[in-house]
Amino acid sequence: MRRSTKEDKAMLGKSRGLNILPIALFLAFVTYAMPGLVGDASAKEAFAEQVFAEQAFAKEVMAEEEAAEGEGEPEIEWSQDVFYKDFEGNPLKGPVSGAPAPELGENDYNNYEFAPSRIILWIANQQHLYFGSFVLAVPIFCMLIEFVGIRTRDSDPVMSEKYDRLAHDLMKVSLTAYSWTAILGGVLLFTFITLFPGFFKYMATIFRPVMHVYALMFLAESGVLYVYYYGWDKMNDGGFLKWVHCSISVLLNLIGTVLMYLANSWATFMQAPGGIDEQGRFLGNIWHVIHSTLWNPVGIHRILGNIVFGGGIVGSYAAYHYLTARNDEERAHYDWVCYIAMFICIFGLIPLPFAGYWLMKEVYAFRQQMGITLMGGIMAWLFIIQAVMIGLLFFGANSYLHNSMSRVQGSQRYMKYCKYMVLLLIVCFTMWMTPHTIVMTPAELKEMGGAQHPIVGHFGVMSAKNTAVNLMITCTILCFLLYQRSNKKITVPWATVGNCWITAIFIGAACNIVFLGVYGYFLPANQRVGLSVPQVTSTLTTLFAGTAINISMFKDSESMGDIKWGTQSKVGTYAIFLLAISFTWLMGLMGYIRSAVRLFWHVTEVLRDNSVDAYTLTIGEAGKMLTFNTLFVWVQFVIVFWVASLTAKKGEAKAPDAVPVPAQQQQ
Amino acid sequence: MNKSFLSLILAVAGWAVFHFGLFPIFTPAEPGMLINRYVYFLLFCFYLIIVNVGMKLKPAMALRALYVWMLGFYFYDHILSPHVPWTLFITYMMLWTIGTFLYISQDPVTFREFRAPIVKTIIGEYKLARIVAFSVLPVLVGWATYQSIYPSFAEPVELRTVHPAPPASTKVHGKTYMLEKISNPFRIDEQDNYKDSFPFLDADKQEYMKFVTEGGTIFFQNCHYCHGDQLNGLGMFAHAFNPTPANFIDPGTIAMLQESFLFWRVSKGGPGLPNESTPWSSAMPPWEEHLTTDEIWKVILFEYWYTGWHPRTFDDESAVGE
Amino acid sequence: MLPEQSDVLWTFLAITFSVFALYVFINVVLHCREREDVSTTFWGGVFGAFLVVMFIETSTMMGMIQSEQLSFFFSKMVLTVFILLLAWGVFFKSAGIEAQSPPIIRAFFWWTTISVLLAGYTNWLPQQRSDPPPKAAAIVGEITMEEYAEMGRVIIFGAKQVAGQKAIGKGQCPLCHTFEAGNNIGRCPNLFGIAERGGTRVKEERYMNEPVKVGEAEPATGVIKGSPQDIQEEYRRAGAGGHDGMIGEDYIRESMMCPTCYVVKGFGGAGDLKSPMPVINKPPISLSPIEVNAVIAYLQSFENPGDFSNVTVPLPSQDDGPTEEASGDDEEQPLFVTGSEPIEEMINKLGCPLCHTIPGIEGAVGELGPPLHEKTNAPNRIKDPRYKGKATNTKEYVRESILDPSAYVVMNEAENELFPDGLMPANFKNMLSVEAIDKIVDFISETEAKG
Repeated sequence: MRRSTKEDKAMLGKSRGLNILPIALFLAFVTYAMPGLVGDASAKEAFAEQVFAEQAFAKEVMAEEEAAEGEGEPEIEWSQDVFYKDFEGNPLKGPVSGAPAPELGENDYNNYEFAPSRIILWIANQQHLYFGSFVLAVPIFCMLIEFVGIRTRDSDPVMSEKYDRLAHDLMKVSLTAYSWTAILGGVLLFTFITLFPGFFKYMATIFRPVMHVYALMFLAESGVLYVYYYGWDKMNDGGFLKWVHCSISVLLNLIGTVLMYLANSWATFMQAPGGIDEQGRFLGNIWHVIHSTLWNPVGIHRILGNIVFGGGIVGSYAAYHYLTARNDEERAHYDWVCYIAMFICIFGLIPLPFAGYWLMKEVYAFRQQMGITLMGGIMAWLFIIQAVMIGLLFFGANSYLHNSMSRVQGSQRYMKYCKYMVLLLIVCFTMWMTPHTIVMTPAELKEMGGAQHPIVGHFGVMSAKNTAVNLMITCTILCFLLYQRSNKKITVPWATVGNCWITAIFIGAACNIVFLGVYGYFLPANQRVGLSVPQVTSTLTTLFAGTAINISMFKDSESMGDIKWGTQSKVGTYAIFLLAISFTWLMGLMGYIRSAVRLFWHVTEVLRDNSVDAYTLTIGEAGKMLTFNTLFVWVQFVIVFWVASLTAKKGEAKAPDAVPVPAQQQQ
Repeated sequence: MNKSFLSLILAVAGWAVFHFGLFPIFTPAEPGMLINRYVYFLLFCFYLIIVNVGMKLKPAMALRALYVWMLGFYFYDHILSPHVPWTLFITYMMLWTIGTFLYISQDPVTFREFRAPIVKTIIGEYKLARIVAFSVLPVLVGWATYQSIYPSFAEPVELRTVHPAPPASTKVHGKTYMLEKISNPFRIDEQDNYKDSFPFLDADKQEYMKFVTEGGTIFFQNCHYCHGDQLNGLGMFAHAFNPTPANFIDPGTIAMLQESFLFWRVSKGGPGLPNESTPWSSAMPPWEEHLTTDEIWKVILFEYWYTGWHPRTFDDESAVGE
Repeated sequence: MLPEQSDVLWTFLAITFSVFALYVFINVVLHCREREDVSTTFWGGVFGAFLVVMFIETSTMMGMIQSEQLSFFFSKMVLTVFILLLAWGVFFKSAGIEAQSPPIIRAFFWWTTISVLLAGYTNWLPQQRSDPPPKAAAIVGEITMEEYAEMGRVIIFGAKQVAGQKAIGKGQCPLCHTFEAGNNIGRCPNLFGIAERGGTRVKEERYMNEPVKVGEAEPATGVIKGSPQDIQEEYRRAGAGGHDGMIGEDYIRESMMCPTCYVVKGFGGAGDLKSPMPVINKPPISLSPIEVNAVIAYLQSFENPGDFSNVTVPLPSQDDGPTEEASGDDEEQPLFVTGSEPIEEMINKLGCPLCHTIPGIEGAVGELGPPLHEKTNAPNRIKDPRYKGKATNTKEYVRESILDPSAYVVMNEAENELFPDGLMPANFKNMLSVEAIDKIVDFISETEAKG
């Protein structure tokens, strides 16, 4: 990593910063993921013990009650849990400590003239979630960027300053968005109370303490947030205080995560309840209700999703400023911010499918039938739409990478491979998009000679799709590696060996993925599922081994020229916009799927939705709502960013990061 | 520009040669490992690459994009066989268009190169091109409008049950048969060890083979015109019918049916089908009017012998799912 | 959105378009003011007109219903915006003011286009709305076995077939099971011939021991395996015996109510010890007893259409379905005495003589409850230290005993133990008018042992 020439000093810092970033990201990711993953791994053992202890305790309580209280007193009723089992596999028993779920009737639902209650609630919920997810993601960003800034201070003060300023700017936006989120939360709460009073009453009885804790945690979050933001300049002494400041951001994130997890418990309880009996009576253990089976996967999935979503927003914010920038310095700055945001975003995107896989696994474990409804029942088309969205994301990400690469000197060596990567992407995506059952007219059916096309029909099954998506990820990783090394002339003595290794890893992984995919056609369905694990492993190997070898080859490398910040192409900029809007839409889509799979239940199998809105929407209606939510939230984002920029105006005259009011732009 | 023009001429000429000259050669009735339409397509791709790279033509970016796009169109529209349904075709072409766009826009230089001729056409630097483009455009729009307004008579989507549930009993030649109980009187060995036997060769199976042979005779006198001499549903009249005659080789037809089902189906033909099987669209005549009961059973025996399938029996079913 | 309501997306876009027109107007006016050579009146007039048109169109949109909005939006509003954009471009070029529109506008249109395209894509796909299943199938009038089996078929496959889609009914069985002979590609066992197979399977060795032994309760559902007589009463087959008497029907019913009682080889988790199938009489499927029987009837008869001789389940009778509203009209009205009847009739109607010996009422010689000699007994009972009620005299005591039987439980002198508490119905208060209870109290307060 050391360079001899002084001119490369700036470059040194930059590349150093870039290398620290992945490590910092990885650490942060591990910090978040560990509790969930480790918890899940050890849960099986710990759970048995815990349950055993609980039952022993329950027995004791029962005995005591019997001894202490004389006859004639109402005996405590015991009932079976709908989800939790003791270590023998029998349903766990708990004392009944709540009323059964009510049979909701007409009086439990209110509605307005202009729209169905369900739609209003959907909008309120989705807007709150979008903002919540942005507000939770930005502190994660700030924490990482500030940390990187502190770490690079000695080697490159200029870059360090830049990182610090970026983190501070982001926090400023987050502050406005924070109160906006709270307002939307209030709107959501009142929507629940006014339009779904019966349902909300039941939820409130079960989650009473959690709701209070949640409200109190908000106080803590606000306090820490204000100290963090307003103490920024005060604590920026470059030494101990700065570290304290950075640790406040960790605290802020922890509190934010707890907040999100608490709110998640309501949603996961509705989808896959636990801690209650069949009639919906609370069984006395609040932890069971919170920690229902989907709680951890949904939490992890949301954290990753938040990072990606936040990356998309920050990226498009920077992209917008890049387009409106008035001088080269600004342009260079925002180009660089785009890069950082996209980097974080794509980094969050790569593990996202695996978290989703875990979530689906838990859904299947909870009720296989729920899983099948998702993947093969009425929700199946929505997953095809998801496939389209994933494709858009891949196209956007690759287009951005190609365009960014093209402005790096020395990239011509690699640019010629771009078209082949595009071809591979498209072919894979064609496979990924081919549906299992095709809508067709009788004439077409006759021409094809059956419902299955003899050639593309093979692409309809899971084997082909897994193969395709793994190849697409591998291809994107390869593109990223090339991007990393595009301006470096590798000078390590083992350069050839290293290149051979990287090539071997990628070709090997691709062969393995394709082989397993083809092999899958010759296996029965239940064994075929197992193949996805080695396929994913191959993909991850390319990610980790490839990146590791690639980075270690940069030692003593010669630079062929700096990245020319501020020369990002228009296509690249619009690719960022595309990514941002796809994320927003996709997030709404997956949220809708997760929520709609309950079908006609408020709380799965416990509290039935008896309202007139209990049906599942057609795909078209849902799609329109998603589009509305997406556009509506972005309008709000623009307003929030604009409000945030008003404060900056009077501060520093030179600050370029304000969204100019429209009229000024024209002058 | 001249080189681009040359490239265009070579591409069009090459395509004409390939499409009208080579394509019929590469699509014989029985495609082989090398002689098939996909190899043909690859060859055409190689031809384009070799001509453009080998002769250092370096055609303009817009032209290259056009080649790429047209190659995709040609593949999905003509090469991929049988033709994919319209919805899927649109999806594929959209993807291919996106891919072409990614190819164009992979870096600002190529994107600018691609845009240049288009912009020049619009603003009038290429006068002739502008006149042509702007006069063709309205015609195209008009043609598209005509196409969309012109009424078409597509068949309605129908859900035809190919193997409907048979009735409990059927009356053939005045005798009522309980379909569940009857079996083929000529299947003289329960174990059906004869299916690898051949007429006149296996001395000990003479009697069974006699029935098979008789069944074969009846089949070729009556059935093979539609069901084909290889029993694969591709008889000489097959192409005139929709739905097509059953393919007995296919594991989804007689292999999964009981002989009694076939007996009912053959005796009653298309008109005997229940409503969900759209009896009006099956062309099979009720064979009870032409064949005797015994002849029907022999034909069935022959069909199983020829294809090597074993009829479904209830004994088999009880093993299902174990 | 309901058909008679406005669509949220189109309304929202109409409003944003209005805002856009306003933005363009302000933008143009600012430009004109800045430059001497551009006519403010002319350009302001043009774009002001656009603004007005846009505003009128938007307010028209607000008053429309969904289907009208769609065509209006795409034919009128999008067209107006398109012309507006063109005019704006002409303005920029003619005065040489700007090379292109500001990025916020470009980003806005880019995003709107993409997300509206996505919405369009979702509307291009096949549309199917899924309604929640009815709570329980109602049975109207007498039905034949054929109709009953058909009801089972509807539960399994759904009432109607939709093109290109697997038919799945309320029971959701075809998600996993297959029904055609020889089709073994399902996630779960093929059900062809299940009725016959079930009857023989229960005798097999594997059924006896795995995953739970016959006679033991399966932990998750609490169903006792191989013991049809222990099934919940409303689901039980009339005359069901023990394991020896199990027939195919019992096997099917047990498999539905307790999937893990027996797992077909190769179709379960944890070494075929755990079935992935949901319990059919519990949520989410929640079939009622009648529906379970209907499904069994279908499964017993679907191999041989038209032949219902193998069906062993009984046809549902009128009163065991969820059809209270049908049967509520005539003789099934709740018991009620108005007080206008003679006292003897009232007491007989209420069923008192079944348990009590009541002097003066013919045939009232029941022995399950204490004899009603209240004229002599009541005063003593009020004085009893065990008595915790509120009555202070005989009449109050009698009234209390009728309305709240558990207030005081009488000692059975002969057996030297209390009469059983809770035996006497506690709902007499719903069966008596005020006049009736007064008459009964008066009557019973005067009863005393004969001789």
